[in-house]
Amino acid sequence: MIGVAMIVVGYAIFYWGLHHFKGVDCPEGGSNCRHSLVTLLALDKFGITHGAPVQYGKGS
Amino acid sequence: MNVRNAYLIAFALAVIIIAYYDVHTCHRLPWPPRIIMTGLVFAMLDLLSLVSQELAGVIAVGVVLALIVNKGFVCTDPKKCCNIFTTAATGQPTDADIFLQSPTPGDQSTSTGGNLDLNNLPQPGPGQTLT
Repeated sequence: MIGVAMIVVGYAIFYWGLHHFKGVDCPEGGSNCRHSLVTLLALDKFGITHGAPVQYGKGS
Repeated sequence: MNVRNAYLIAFALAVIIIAYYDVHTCHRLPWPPRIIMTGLVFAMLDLLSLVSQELAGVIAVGVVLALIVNKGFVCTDPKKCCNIFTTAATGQPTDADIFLQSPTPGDQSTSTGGNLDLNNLPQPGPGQTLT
């Protein structure tokens, strides 16, 4: 049972990481396809809100 | 077969059905919260089986059958969630639709067999010559 839960959580983390790269499963270009890990783990359904996304840019 | 393994197998079946229809119909990876919520459903059924084993088993079988019959409850609306293009969405028939249409009297050719109009032949393509 714990193994299955770890697989499901691992898949959510994989999905989260996959959508942080442009062009991979994200034809719009990257910014519209990023999801919070809180959303992907369905924690927002239980009242846990996610924070602002971390953005890295030139000069930051 | 152990009852707990039965719920695990039902959960695995549900995940396979969801993943199949997401990949096959919408060409996308399954949305992880759906899988987590599916696991939650079967975990609650596992708890319910402590009270009534028959009822929990019937509900588990019903959930799996509903997933199969409703094709994984995958949203196929291209405006909302699934970027598939259907005839209804684009308004343009596909090649398969045109091929499957039976000819109506207005669509049928008016030329009779053997009367070839030599002034209306298709133009040869590049590299082709008329002999």
